[in-house]
Amino acid sequence: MVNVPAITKRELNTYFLSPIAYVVLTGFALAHGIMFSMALRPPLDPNNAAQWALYVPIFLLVPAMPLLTMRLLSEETNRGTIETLMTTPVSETEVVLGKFVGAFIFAVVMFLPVLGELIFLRFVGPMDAGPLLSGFLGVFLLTGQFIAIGLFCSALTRIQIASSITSFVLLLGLYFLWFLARDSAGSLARLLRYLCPPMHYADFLKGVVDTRHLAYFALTTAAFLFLTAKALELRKWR
Amino acid sequence: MLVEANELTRYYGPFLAVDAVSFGIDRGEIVGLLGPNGAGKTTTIRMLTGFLPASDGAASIAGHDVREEPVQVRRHIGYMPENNPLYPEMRAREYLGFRAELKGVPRRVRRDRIAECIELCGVGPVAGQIIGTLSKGYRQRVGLADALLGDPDVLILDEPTIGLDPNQVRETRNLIRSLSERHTVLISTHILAEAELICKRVLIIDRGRIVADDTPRALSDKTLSGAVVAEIAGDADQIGAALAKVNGVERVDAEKTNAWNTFRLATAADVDVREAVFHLAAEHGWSLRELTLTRASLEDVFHRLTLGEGAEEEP
Repeated sequence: MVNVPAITKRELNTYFLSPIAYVVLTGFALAHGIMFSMALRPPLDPNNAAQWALYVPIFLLVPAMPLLTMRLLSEETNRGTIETLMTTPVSETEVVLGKFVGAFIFAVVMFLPVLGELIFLRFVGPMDAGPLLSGFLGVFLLTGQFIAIGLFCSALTRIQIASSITSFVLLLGLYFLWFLARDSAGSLARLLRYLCPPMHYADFLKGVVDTRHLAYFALTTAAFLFLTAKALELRKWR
Repeated sequence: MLVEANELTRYYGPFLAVDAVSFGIDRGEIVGLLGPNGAGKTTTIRMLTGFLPASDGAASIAGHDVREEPVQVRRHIGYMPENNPLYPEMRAREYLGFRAELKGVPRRVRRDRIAECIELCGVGPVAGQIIGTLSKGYRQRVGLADALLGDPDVLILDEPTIGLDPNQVRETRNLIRSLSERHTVLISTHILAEAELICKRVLIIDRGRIVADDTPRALSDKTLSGAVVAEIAGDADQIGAALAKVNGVERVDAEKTNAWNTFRLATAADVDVREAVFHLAAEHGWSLRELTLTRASLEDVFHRLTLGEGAEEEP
């Protein structure tokens, strides 16, 4: 795992040089700001507004994360740098983790405006710290899961647009499981609901940190990272 | 053996790209892997570096099996792939720093090592520039500097001079030649002159198989029959008839110009008829002003081996 920091560092540097990353950064800040302002109506309850601010990413991350993750591996394959990368003494796992952490740190930067909004609310009135902390935990868990999914899609193709469309469709699909679950019954409905990310997200906003939800995010994220490493290894056999 | 390939085979689907290729490279050798485009050079090299797994057969570098200990193998190689892929948004020095970190160059010597490679490959003037803005020649140097960073036992360079202009080609070749003093080098190329200039040993690969393995000199010696050019004054027919009787001469072509005649004497391989021709001329009192043994160039050897044609062409 000694090579993870080197890969993370390069990934972050590349993000801050990439126009598309700035577009996503700006787009997210704008869209989040507009949606947040919708909560700013009298009577203004800072706790409700904060909950709304942390709820909004559930919509915004679906288009944002595919755009941020699409280049992670597709670009390496397309440029051929995957060959120089994989012929140094690094493992597939190190590459995948390094890129995951790099994208995650960039996503944290993307959430800075949300923090700004919450600080603004703090001046409006007193707020409960619990739901804020658990809410942020939820946001980051969701972000991690989306990055893992995006990273996996990026390992499948050398074309960035194809990668972003694939992960966008995959994320939408996961959200739509909720509709499927509504129209089905029994254990199938339970399974579909279990796989649907928003179902696990809502509790965090209420200040509840449930190990079932933690396990769900940890498992799905780890599963997609594992699949990504496998996809990288399989690339050799094509 | 520093590098060993044993019956390396690779299929792409049903297509057999490399067919049971075996060779060994000793420490200090500088070997050229020569072949036409599509012969399997890159595939062979990728299997050696572990980037592509072999369908069959095995390879080892510095005693580490490529399949069993891939990470160990990568510590011993400095590899520059075909077309030298780089990150265009990074600065040259920054890129080399990233690569040195990946290659496990210890932190305390990293700065010195990078400076050394920058110096050695002449990257200095552009070290602070963004790679995307560099000329192809400088990119190639950055790629070579990268290959050297880990002070590897073996440098593996896939088509290192492709796409460069003649001056850059010459610079790159000189650089590779100077590197070969300290490293074992395997380069692939489809340019014969390059192999002849740089390499002490040439492996000719064609349609996935090694068809020759020797020094460039030995290859041209043993593959093609030699030829002697003699310029003699006098009666062309008479001289030609006499020359044809010289032991070892298989065919005489004459070309008459004024008083002087140019004769091309085709001979069997490993036969040098120059002395006999000299004595013949001296015996008859003919003036002799040129007597040259022409060697088959590597190009002829290559042409013959890879097209499977006879040696009838002009040597």
